Amino acid sequence: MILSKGLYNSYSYFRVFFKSTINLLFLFFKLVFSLWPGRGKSGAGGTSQKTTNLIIPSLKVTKKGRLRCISCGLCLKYCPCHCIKMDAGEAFEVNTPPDIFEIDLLKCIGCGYCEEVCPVDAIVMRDAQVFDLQYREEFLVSQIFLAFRKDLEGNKGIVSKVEDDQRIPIEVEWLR
Amino acid sequence: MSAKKHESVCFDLYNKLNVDLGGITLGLESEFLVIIPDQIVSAIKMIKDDYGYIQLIDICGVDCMYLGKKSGNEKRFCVVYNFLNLESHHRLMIKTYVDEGENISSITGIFKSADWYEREVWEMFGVEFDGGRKKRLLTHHEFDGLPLRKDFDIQNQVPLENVQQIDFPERVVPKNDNPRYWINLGPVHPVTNSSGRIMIEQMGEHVEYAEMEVGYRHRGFEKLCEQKEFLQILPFVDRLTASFPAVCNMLWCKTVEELLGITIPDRAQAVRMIFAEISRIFDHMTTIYEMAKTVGYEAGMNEVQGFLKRVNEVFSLFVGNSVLFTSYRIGGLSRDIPAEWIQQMLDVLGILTKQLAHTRKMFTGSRLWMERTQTFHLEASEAIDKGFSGPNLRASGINYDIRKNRPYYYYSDVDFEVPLGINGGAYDRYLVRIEEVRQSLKIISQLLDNLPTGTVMLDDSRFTMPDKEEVFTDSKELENHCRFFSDGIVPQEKEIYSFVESSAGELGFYIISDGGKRPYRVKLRSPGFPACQAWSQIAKGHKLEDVAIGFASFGVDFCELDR
Repeated sequence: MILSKGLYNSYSYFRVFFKSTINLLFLFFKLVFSLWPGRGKSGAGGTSQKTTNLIIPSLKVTKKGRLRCISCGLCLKYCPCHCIKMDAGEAFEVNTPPDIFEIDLLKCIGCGYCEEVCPVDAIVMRDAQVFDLQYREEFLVSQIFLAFRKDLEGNKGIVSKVEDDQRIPIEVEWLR
Repeated sequence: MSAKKHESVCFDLYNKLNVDLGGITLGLESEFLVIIPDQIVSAIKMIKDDYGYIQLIDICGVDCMYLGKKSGNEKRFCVVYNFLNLESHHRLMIKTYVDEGENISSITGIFKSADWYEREVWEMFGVEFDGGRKKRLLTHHEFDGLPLRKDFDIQNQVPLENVQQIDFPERVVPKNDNPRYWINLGPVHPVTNSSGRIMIEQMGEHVEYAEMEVGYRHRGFEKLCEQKEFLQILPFVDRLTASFPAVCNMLWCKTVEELLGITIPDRAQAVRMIFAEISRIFDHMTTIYEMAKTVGYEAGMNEVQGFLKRVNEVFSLFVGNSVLFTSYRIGGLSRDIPAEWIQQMLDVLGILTKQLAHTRKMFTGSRLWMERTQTFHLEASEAIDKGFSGPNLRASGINYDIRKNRPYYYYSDVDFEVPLGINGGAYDRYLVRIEEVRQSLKIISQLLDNLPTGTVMLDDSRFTMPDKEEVFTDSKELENHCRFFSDGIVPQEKEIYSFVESSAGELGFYIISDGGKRPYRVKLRSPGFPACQAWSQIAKGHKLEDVAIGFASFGVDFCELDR
């Protein structure tokens, strides 16, 4: 139902032409970029890649590129959901980094207690972009992901504040 | 005053009933009476009729398997009754010791609200009550085992298959020609908010009989606490409920601090109060939102949602999370509130006060809202008898607020009023809630104006962690840090019941410590428990269309109820 002619007069021919051209151009570019390889939806039959942003515990490294962790096991004890797995190897010593440090991202609730408990600044809460995880095993991420992923200053990892010379060794007696 | 009164009660009971005082000194510190199981009914009747302890707060079972040897008591179980005198606001706790296979007589004849508490003790410990119902409450009805006993095997897994029948097989129905019809709400239903199930038998369009099934979210919180150290429990308490996590966490820290006998800095007390009040505002408005949802008052829903969004924004500015408040630690707070946040909060408070006035106008005067919420009336005596607390009790006209009557932190210094209802209906419950929101805003603005200076964390190396910055460089601090987290906190051998006013009612923690790293027994007194218990009595005779609004008006959260 047309109420008044005035409504139509408000759009001039020039404006209509201008707008429709812009729309056409926009659609064209959208089409081109959607077909671009490696972006969002790939061609026919491709599945869309989903990314999720998580705040997860990430590991810090020393200047030499080793883990800052001293495998004291306090974060293991205080994690409320038992998502941290640590293996310090057969020759277990307190002041050496562990062989295996894994975190189950499905279990982690991001409470940040591991960061608070850590006696050295080895573990911090940082954002992580997790791509397209589908299977249960993929959520178990290793120390390579936790310390040297792309988000953390381009594969170099976060270097801890305290240098190796100033570092104070921990005695086993303190950790009963 | 209360100490004197307590002494006289003890003396009278001792003369009349030969109560075993068990070497416990009289006074406010240890408010326990020990009574033989045979005399429990007569003693409790006397306490109720002659001394005015008219509300049952809680019944808690304890397995004294390892505790008994220390205290010199040979019997295995202990049942702790907790009573409240609403006139003098005094509390009394009564203990009875029973052995395995020994029965206690049920007190459901004196206090109707004892039913669920006794069922819980029966299902968790196997203590049998003569005349009490034997039906599992928090665990599944096919489950076999007594979970809270100390010798319970946690690895024991029982396959559970069948759903509880809706046709109430135990109920005795008078024979008539009318066919029986049932309606099932839940466990996942917009009315029940989270996981709980309402089962209704209908007669025409009225409720003939109703029952509630809880326990869908039973996580074994109390069993979990017994296996964790005091410091390790903090993240679990945080996630106990979605309605008022800041209060739950505050209460846990407060109880442990009382157990240790420490007082936290002034500034930490004030900041804890601020976030408890923000949490109260949040939960009250959510309850009103739920009520509006069940009525179908969409304009009101949008209005409340806008309000909630604003509260949430300012809450998450400091906390980072939208609901959880993770900054509480034993001994204070992990970080201080910044000056900018105080400025922002003061700005937002003005906007919120204006917006609240608009919301009140939209709801209170609305004809639709007034007419639809005139249901589920609770008389004052009924509300006390059924064990209600908090805004639900105040809506029935009873002036009892823990913040006023047993003030903790700075509640005795701030100026606020306790709103009371008249009829005790859903409308009154709404009125009390929205007025309490206004009072909470008032409290927050007073606290922010007169915020004490100083640190927010207690400086005591036994109970609090050292400063994180110094730990990296100082070897002494590093040793303290490692020792603190590997040893944990070790309180004295003591038991304590601490309680605060949460947005749904009285929230309390009863902790027994045997002088070890871990708590021996933790019991949470949840405010939603009595409301769900009384549901089958309250709902009877109401129209089916009113059931949803009636249930929403109690503001029950199943997360903290199921534990």
